[in-house]
Amino acid sequence: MADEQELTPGATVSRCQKCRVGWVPLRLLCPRCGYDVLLPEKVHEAVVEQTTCVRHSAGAENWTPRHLASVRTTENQVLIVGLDGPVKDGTRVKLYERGMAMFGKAQ
Amino acid sequence: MQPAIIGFAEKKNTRQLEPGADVYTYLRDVIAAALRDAGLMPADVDGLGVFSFYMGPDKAVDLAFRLGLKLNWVVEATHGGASAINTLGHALRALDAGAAKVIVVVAGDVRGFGPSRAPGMASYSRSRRDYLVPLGYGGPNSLFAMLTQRQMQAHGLTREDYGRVVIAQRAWAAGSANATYRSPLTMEEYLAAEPVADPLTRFDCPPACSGASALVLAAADRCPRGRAPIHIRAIRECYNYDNHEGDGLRTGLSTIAADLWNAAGVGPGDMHLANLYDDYPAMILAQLNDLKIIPDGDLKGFIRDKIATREFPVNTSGGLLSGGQAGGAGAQLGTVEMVRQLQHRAGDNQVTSARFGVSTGYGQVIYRYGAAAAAAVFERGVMRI
Repeated sequence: MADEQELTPGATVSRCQKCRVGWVPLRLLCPRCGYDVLLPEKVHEAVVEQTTCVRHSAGAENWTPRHLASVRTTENQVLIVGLDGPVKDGTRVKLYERGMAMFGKAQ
Repeated sequence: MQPAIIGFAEKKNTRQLEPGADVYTYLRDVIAAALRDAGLMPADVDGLGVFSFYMGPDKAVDLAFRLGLKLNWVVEATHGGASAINTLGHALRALDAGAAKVIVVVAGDVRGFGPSRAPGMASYSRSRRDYLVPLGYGGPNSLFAMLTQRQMQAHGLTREDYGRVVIAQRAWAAGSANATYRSPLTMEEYLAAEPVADPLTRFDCPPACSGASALVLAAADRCPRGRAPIHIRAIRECYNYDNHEGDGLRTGLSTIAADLWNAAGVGPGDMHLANLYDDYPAMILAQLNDLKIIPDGDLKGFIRDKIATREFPVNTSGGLLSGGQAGGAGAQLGTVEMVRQLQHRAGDNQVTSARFGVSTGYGQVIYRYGAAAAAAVFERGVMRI
């Protein structure tokens, strides 16, 4: 995971201003109610559901293993996040982001 | 006019490109070969469907120009693994509507092996570029590694179960002249393979390669004598079927299967074979389940009793997993093999008396799994004498 100084707390969802559902990836219309005003809001916690270690990437030079997880937020969004290292399924993580990429850090 | 597939050609998949070859020569070669197979000349062609990830900056009309084709109808697909069925559907409707009389549907790519591959991954879509590439996700392998874990948990599957699927396809590849990997694979070799993204190993991931294929569609009575035209009884497609709110264990096929079979007038039990988009073993099983070819949802039993025994032939060319993933041509691999089988031209791999078959496309991985899915039901027509 990148240096924590580079990360900002929370992961951005696009929140429908009518039905209040938050979406990732960001949407233009709310898939649930069709409303066209969605604003960015942060979610901060999630639970790890699956993890993987990416040990090989075709064509990549000097590849080092990366740890990724599929996590479910407290609002039920499922996100793909980068991790510092291996964690067990069920681990609670705090969410961060750099740009739009999301990262999880075990609490 | 009853439209049908009346000819095809496929270039052997390879990871060793011959000197002077590029994506354009690949597309040219299969178009020329497919027209010869159909007994037609380039001047007969008035419609062209194209899908290729790496053909840029040229577009379909540029390709037509370089081939000297004067067209009344052209389409270019950008739907990942669902592009072949999508384009086939467009072509059938165009023939039916009289927009064209002879359409070539061509797919192909010359894949980069090395750092040159990276820009393609980064620019595949906005979501993947912004959310996944900065994580070093290494392409879809990591996403389907986690999806595979979900399927293992939901259906009680083991690594050995997936191994049986992969080994069965490798056995089909042994009889397929165009497959990249044709040597037999044992369970010991499968289980000992180098890991790619846990729990996937290299045999669970389709090897990138170069390849191309083309289909010729026209009125069935233009099929060469001694050959059977191949009819498409139904095509259905589905895009963004669940708004990415699910777990990816069901594909869009689950929302169109009933309508597909109803429109086809035959059911999953009537199929003699299935050629499914097999970017990963888990997705073969998900699609079979969605299509109700696995009638009771018992994935483990179907692998053991039907796939491993060849009682129900699946991916008879070896699929992407053994045949190789040749970009756009990978999307058309199953359809080309279906035509080969239903025209009874599959040699050692011929499924006896094959009359009906189903092919699928799956892909356009937006974030966690594929958002595009399509299926077509094919039937062998009456041979022209």
